Amino acid sequence: MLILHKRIKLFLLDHWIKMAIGSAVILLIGAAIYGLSTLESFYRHMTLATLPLQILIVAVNAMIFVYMYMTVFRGGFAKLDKGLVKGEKIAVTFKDVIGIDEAKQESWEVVELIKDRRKLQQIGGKVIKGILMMGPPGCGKTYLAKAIATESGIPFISMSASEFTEIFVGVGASRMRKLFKKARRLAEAHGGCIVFIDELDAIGKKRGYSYLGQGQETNSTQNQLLVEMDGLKEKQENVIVIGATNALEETLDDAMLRPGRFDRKVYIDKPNLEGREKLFRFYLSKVKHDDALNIARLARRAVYKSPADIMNIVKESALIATRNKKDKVALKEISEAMDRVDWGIKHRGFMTQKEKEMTAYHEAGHGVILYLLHPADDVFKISIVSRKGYLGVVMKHPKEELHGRNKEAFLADIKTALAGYVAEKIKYGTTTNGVSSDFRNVMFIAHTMVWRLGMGRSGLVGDYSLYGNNTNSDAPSANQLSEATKEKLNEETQSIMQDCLKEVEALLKKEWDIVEKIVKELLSKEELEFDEIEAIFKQFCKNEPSASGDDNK
Amino acid sequence: MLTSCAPTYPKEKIVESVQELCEREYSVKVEVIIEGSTMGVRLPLKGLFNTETLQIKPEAFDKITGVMLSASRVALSSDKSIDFYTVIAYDAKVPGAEVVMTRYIYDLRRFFLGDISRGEFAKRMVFDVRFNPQAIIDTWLGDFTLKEQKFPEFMCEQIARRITDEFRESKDLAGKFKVASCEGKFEEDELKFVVDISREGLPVSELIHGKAWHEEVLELCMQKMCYVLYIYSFKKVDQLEAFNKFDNKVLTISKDEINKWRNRRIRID
Repeated sequence: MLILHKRIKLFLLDHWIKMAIGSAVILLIGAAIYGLSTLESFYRHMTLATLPLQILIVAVNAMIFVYMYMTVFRGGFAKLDKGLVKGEKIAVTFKDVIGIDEAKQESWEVVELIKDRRKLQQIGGKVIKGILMMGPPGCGKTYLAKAIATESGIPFISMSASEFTEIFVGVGASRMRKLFKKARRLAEAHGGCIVFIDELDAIGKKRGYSYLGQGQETNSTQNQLLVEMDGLKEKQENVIVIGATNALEETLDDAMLRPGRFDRKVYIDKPNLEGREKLFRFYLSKVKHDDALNIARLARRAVYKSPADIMNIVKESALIATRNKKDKVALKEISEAMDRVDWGIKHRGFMTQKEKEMTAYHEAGHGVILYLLHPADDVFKISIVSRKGYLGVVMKHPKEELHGRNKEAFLADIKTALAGYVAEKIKYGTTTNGVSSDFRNVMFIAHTMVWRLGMGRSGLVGDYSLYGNNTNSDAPSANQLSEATKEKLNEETQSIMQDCLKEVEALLKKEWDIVEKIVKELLSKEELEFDEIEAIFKQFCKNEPSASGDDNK
Repeated sequence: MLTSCAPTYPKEKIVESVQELCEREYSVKVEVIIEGSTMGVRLPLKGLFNTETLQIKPEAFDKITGVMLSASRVALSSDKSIDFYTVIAYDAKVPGAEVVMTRYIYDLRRFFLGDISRGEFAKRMVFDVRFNPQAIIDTWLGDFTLKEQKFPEFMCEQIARRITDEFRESKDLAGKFKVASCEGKFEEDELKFVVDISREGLPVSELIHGKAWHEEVLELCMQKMCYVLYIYSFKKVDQLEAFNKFDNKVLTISKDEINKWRNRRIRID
């Protein structure tokens, strides 16, 4: 009896507002009915006849008031204007996803898990809650998510994480609740639903706490996402969240990455050689192209290019072909498109003949050393047409897809960078400010080799930049190196550069005929392609060193 | 709830209802008679007119208004189909003198719904002070009989009142014209109005607004006729005729011209 009394009391305490409002409404309705019944029939009919109109006017007034209030004072509604997209209507299948085979394989497993969820649940397994797709931009994360939706045949709701963020705290969380409410309803009706959140880092970065309240909105949005994905719910619906981000995994909040939230991570990297070949084949199949195009070579040249880059290159080359009144895309157009994507638009005709000549010697110096000495990079193009503020350029590409760089490659980088300076000095006895960016690179590489990578000759190993290189810092760890060690390291750096300089000078003097030949060709053609460059070296019976470092000269 | 949907004044008790309302709310005893769709209410008053000015006394006017309101309420909230009501106020001390007011229930409904203005509502009432009441009311040996009001007649009376009021109250015309008589009737779908309107001291050829005044008179009559037909959407009329007995001038317009006027394609002037 006492418990019942307490329960009633608790119920009344919990619901007194609702009960008060309900009673007031009943009272008012009763009073209105009584009032109407006391009216003469004509007035009663007149009142009842105008009642719908009055209700409509009151409703419209209320809506206008609420709209104005929310717009002016509350920063708009936390509305979620996202329509349902049916999986099968997206029409992006796994066949269309090219060049990212490993990610595709992992995603296919996800599709299988979504399809066989009943079987999985029968044996006691838990359906995956979230998949996080990580990788550089333009690698097909969104495309892959669409393919998952198509293949699994369940509804798909796509949103950008930035759509959740607002200046007003709570709006993002409210949108998140609405999104999941909608997703759960769809999941109930269709057996599952995919929620795709693009650019997840906008709400997924590590949560921070500030006395000034900065980041509070992002925090609350993220908290809501976490709760929706793995919170305490009466019923667990088959809602799978796919997040996509370019951000590094370390920058994302740990709670997001733990099992139960984004428990499956799919790394989507830039395509490898085989992938790039497939991509070129796929995109070139959509335009008229020269059958003699060496797609394997294109793929080699497009190293570190994303699928979006490759698509852009083919699209750009088709535009160039149209502008050049060609009926099909050839190597020339693709090469120009690559240059345009990498280096921007050409600026012709503002250099004097003398400047052109000096630039030609500078670039020829780079080109010769790169060709003869570099174990890892190929010279693809030499140009004395100005682009992006550079008077000339030697375009190089890795011979093969390497993910590390050895000492020899670094030294070759230094030598290649110094070659422009040396060529100018040999030819004119003076040098220009065109060497500034080369010297910056040289200094950086040599410094890194000695200070950070233990590639000096003195035998000093370790990353000295951590403890001895910050003169502006008062931190105890900032300046722990002795002056003697620093001096030694700096001498090492300089000695590497000097050795490289001597070697380059000797080699260029020895092969000066090649330099002169390249300069002559450059001055007449302005740009030399890989084939033309190779022909010149073949003429002088020179070969590139192999990627392994064996010199075949 | 269900009983509240029923009419407040059922047709069986309509007479008693008016009497009861008048007695309860305005402390007046009235006689009520229903003839077809017309309800007549006869209100005896002591001191209806001011014997010196022959104007209706204000307290008498209040009672007439109260009785009209009671009649309106009953007519509107009854299941009896009432189209018109007429309130006849008379003074026993002035035999034969009566105030007669007739309202069309359709006008009443539109007024309550805010469809017509108060001024227009007042103009739609037929109001007459008569010193020879036999035209509508027959009083014989104390019995009260009522002639059913027909809509065309009501319109004619309303047009006549509008014409008379215009010449009496309009800023441009008041005091310049003499309206000796104004009455109209429907005859075989033709509305004929016979007026006797003169302008004293002015020759017939005198111009008003650039026209001979006698033409202006007939055009004004015609405008009122067209307007009243228009506000009631009355289309069963083939021709309108206005005749001024004073100078024997006549103005006639056809059905086509009435329609064109309704569609604002022509002006009557």
